[in-house]
Amino acid sequence: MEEKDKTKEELLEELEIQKWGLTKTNEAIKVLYKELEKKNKELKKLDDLKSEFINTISHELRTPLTTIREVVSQVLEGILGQTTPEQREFLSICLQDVDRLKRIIDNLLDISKLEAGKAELKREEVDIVNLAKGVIATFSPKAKSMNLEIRGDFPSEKAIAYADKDSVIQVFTNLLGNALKFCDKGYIQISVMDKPEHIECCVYDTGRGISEDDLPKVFSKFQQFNRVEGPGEKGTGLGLSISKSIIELHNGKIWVESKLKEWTKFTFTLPKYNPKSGTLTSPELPG
Amino acid sequence: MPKKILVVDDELNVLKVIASRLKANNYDVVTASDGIYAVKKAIEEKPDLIILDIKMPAGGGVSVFENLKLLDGTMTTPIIFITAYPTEEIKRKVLEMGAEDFVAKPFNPDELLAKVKKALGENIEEKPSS
Amino acid sequence: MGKKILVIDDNEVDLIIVKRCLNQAGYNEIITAEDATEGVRKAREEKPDLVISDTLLPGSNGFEVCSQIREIYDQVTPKIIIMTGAIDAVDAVKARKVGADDYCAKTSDCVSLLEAVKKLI
Repeated sequence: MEEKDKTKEELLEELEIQKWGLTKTNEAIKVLYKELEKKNKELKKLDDLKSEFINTISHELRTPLTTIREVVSQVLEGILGQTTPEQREFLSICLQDVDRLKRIIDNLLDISKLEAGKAELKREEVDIVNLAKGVIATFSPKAKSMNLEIRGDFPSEKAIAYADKDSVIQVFTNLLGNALKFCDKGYIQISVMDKPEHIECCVYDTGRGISEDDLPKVFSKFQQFNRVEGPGEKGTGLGLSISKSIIELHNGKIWVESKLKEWTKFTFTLPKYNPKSGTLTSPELPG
Repeated sequence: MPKKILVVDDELNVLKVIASRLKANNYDVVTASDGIYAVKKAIEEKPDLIILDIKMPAGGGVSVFENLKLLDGTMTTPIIFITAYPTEEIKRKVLEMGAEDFVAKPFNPDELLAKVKKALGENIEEKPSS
Repeated sequence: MGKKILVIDDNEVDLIIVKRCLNQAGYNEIITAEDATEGVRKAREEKPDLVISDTLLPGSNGFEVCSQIREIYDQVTPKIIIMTGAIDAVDAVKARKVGADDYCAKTSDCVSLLEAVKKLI
């Protein structure tokens, strides 16, 4: 209605303003697009630097470790001449720490890759129940020697998740390994549940537990609680941090609950591949 | 007659310890610390197996590999790569290229020996004759 | 070059970037403001030759600021540029209608901004 009242001049002026507006917008779009291209190039450069860094460090650390390990190993085995029992004892200690150093380097590189977004996840449909059973089988001998029981709780026969098989095994191995370390009586239970939105896995142990003060720090790097000197492989303090990164890379969640001196429970979720919508479902964190 | 293995790595220390390990298992060992010398030695010594470090300066182990695969005298010799960084991609590429196998640094000596035996077509159960 | 410029933006980093670019282009008398009220006040008190304002400001916007400044002064000085990180054709038209002299995109090298500034002062 208002338009009919406007004079021809007013309409022409309005048209002129609109034209100005569109021209300005157009120019701005071109400029912003160039900016985007520039930022993209910078990001790609940074990305390449990250890869190069990880590759180089990997090589530089692992090469001297190779020679050290071989030398110690060969002297220990008698390849380079006779040795006294005391020499062998100390060389053994050396070898243990060389292997520990190797594990730390491997873990650090895992973390670097995960945090730099350079971890390669080979995702496919994986039966987590089967996978968990495999991990349990691997740890059974050790558990038996420690008089601990590992129970499996699998309400469904199968639980298919869309995940990287090796990475999930790494997470289970880490959690189960920790459980064995901090549990001196009772049992450890692994459960896998096929929930509507995701696959939920738990590793529960009746061990030492984690104090309320320590709970928030559990997934931080180089945190080791209640470390007890004794036989067996020394941890690197990086396992849980790596597990967390792996699960989050899968769009899953991982969390811990515990009661000091009584029990600890680690739970993590993995997405299910939804064949209908072709999308991955994201699990919710418990309230 | 003992089998002959050519080991190629630009790090002299690595060459020394691998040679020591292989000799203790009754293999003859020849070594080379750069690509050009490696090809020369391969042609002269005609090894039964070549162990080659993937990452070497000036072209790297990959170009040495490619050269060896082109030459008459060495194209059928099995080659095992050593790598400090065994990613899935590298593992795949290595085998696609036609390498026999690969070993990660630092290596488990039993694993190295098993892979060497396999590449040489030796029975893994047998102990090499003294 | 002796010209006084007032820059209004609530984002500290953007303010630093714009100030730096203007300095490098030879404009050394720069005043800043971080919200609409302060911006209009400084425009009144400092009498800048040019006002550059972000579109989004806490509790207000660059168009409001522009209208208010136009009410204080005559319709020609100071020159006003409205800049934004989110380009919208409707916004461009709005800028012209409230009396702005130009409307441009915010980028880290301030290329569009500097071109507009040079043309106006």
